[in-house]
Amino acid sequence: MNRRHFLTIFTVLPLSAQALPFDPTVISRLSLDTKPRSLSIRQGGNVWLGYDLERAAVFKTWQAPANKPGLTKAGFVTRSAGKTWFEDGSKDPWELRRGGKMQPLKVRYLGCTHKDDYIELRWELQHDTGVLKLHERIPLAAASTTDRVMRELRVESLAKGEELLPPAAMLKAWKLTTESKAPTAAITGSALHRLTLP
Amino acid sequence: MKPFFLHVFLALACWVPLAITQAEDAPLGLDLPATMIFSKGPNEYAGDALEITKGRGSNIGWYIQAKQQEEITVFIEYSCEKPLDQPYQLSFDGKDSFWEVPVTKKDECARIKLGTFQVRAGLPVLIMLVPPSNRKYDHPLRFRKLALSGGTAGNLALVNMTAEPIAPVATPGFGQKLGKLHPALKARDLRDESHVMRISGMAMRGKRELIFTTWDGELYSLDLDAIPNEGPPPFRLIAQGLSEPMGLVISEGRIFVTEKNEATELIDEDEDGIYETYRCISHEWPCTMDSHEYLFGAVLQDSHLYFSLSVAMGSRNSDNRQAPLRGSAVKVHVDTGKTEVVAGGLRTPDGIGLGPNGSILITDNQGEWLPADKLIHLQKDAFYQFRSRAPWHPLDHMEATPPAVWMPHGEVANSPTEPFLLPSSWGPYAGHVLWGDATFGGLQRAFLEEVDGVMQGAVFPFSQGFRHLLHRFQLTPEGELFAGGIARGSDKEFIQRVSGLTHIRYTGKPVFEPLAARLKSNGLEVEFTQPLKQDKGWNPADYHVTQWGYQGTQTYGGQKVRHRLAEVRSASVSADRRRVFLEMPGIITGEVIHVRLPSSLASESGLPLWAGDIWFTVNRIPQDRPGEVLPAPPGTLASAKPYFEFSKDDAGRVLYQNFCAACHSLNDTKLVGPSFTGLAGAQVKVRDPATGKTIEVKATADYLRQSILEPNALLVEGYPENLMPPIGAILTPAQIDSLVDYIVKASKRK
Repeated sequence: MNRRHFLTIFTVLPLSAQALPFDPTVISRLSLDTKPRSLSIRQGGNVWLGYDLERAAVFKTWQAPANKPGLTKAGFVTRSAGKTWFEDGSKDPWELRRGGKMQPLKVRYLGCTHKDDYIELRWELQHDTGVLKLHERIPLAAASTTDRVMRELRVESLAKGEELLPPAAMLKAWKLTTESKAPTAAITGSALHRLTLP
Repeated sequence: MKPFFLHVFLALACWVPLAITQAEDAPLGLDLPATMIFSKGPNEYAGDALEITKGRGSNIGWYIQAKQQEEITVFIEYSCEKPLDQPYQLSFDGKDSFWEVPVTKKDECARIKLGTFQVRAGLPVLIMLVPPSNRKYDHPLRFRKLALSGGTAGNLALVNMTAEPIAPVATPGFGQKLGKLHPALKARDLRDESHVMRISGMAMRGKRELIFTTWDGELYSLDLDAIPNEGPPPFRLIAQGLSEPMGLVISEGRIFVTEKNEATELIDEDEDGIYETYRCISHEWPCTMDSHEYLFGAVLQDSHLYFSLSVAMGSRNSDNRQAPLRGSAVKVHVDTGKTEVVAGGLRTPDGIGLGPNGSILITDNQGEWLPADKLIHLQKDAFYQFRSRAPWHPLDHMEATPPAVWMPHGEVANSPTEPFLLPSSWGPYAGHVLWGDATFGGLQRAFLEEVDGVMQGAVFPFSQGFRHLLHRFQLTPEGELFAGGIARGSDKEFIQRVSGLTHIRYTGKPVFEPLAARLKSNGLEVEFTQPLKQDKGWNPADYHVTQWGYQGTQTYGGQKVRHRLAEVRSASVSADRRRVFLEMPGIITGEVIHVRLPSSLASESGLPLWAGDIWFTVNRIPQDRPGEVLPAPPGTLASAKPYFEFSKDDAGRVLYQNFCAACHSLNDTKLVGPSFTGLAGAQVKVRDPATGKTIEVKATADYLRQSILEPNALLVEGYPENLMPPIGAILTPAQIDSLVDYIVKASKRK
């Protein structure tokens, strides 16, 4: 099917109206913006996050145009539509800092869960001596008025003295805080952290 | 891929445009001039040189015959003023190698050594020079000839083997696609008129619940006990948001799906009947945005999920590169996600299923490198012939592993789908393998045997007469068959019409047809479902038998090699009259034997023959299994009238039925492609490739010929590029003539 008739089918229905998870109007698991392994999640009524599953990273955040869908579908691929708030075209990786030295991490996507009020994505981050498990939870309700977008992160198996650093482009644009809202430059321990787009 | 490239070097250059002085070493050899190739396709001659401006469509080949075996050096005379980004393929008697084309100076004709090969005595040897796939050059490669140099004067001769043996007049099931439902089957269309379901994976959850995925990403459940006597069944949506699933399997209650780019498990963690977690088991292979890259099928064996990675098709129009590992058969441990490449060289392997004795079978589609459709017996580290270009698949070998059976393209297959093993409840067909076809339609059947551990067997047409194109299958424990339909193209009405679900039952009604075929040391034994009528079957003239090999080419198509009539020395009927042994002295490993039975052959009980075509793939000739040659009873060799009729006019009709009818109707029925009704002589709106604008052209014979050779050249308004396969690449010039003649006559409005 090569005919390029774009179908703008994505509307902005609340999840509560859907009987089944993985409603494509809330989470699209089709390729986004020519990135083969990607997915898109809607937060609130009109904010979208595009994930690069192979990097465990948001590569685009955007706001749908007024009264129009933020995602268009042509065949089995999607395109973002609207105002771009964040875009990361880099290949910046997650990094593990141990004893002042950076350890390379190999990313493996583990899947996603769709509950009533959030979607959780999971990755394995393999390093030289073990494996970290990264959980990223995206609340489906709109972020607070002070932040445009909000994500929650938690990491399993970080040893004492180890720090997990998000990709540099992400750290530059997003604000990383601890559960008590204290700014931080890296994730430590297993407590909840937040990434917000001011 | 192991090093295979030729030791190419510039041996001689001549500076007069295409004026070659005969080399001194040539008299002991043979010239293969451009003017004597099988077909120039869309390319043109400039004097005695062929200006190759289009990679696809021309057929640059010759047959030679040698009196004795000897070493042959092959030279080429050509000119090419700009570098090509892909090599030419040189095939010498099935041995493939690649030629990186050195640039020549303007108006220079170079003579280059391509390599040294062993020519064998006996059957003719095919030599082919194949341009890169689907390339359109901005300048021509001017090819003048190949020159073969040997050591024995008069050893080599050019021979003409391009003419296909004339086939008997065809009827459905006898040289032509079947037209009806198999007499022992009952089929019920379970389609919901209000809901298009392009079914892409099927499995049983428990004994009476069928679940299936759709191409559009949904998972449905159907309670088989709730199917009403009339009207659509109560389909229940149980999951959504899957990404182009093409395979589904259930094991111990766990649901596994192969999606566009990952293998996934659907998990209901809180056991409330809703799958809230899509666990990625693995995506350890590269992928691109190409729409033809899929994960096809799903088979679970020993805690491993098996599936195939199809290759990209968009790359054919550009540089022909594939992402690494495309074309692999892959297995993934469902718990650890450990991912292993089992085999390589697959192209569009839509179907995977379990075969006899725990084997895993894969179907694959004809096209580049694959000269016919095929059913593959999956073997570790095997290479199944499709390649793109360097960097090669890690399992790429120059010697490809042959399929268990070839399915001749356009004769019994076109886009084969999921293979599955028939259970004991299917009577005489138990243990046989069926599959569908997403273009040819219907069901085809294979009987497989193993000789020295090598799988081979026979393909038979089994049934047509279904509303859907059958893509995925699921048997219930009782042997009921559910078949899911799928459609491609962009016409919504067509998709609606041929997608959906069909319920098929085997009734056990006696049918007279060839059931199995087994290779013997000295021929082929055909087993029938019913005893033959007394004194029938003894005459070798009862059996129209041809045989051929296959040559894969890097351009779309490939071709039959040495297609010839086979000698049937005798026919021996067994005491129970269920088996006939055809004594055939000329069986060759690697070839296909096609047996056509006459429709007049009847069973003892008077049943007519349902279908009379058998295609047997010879992979291994058993050395210790001779067939018994029996003396024919008196009077059984006589025949009141010929068993077969021959008509030159029949070829075009059969070619239309087998190659075109699935997409182009001869009435006003909407199919994938435009109808042929009223086409000949009419004005057609087409897209001008040069300007992209719509123009009107008259549908003359030349227009039809060009559309067959270059489907994208003049696209009928409203139809996309690449929807129609370039079937001109797999038909001989004579066949194209016959087909065009038939379309011109048949398309006239009555």
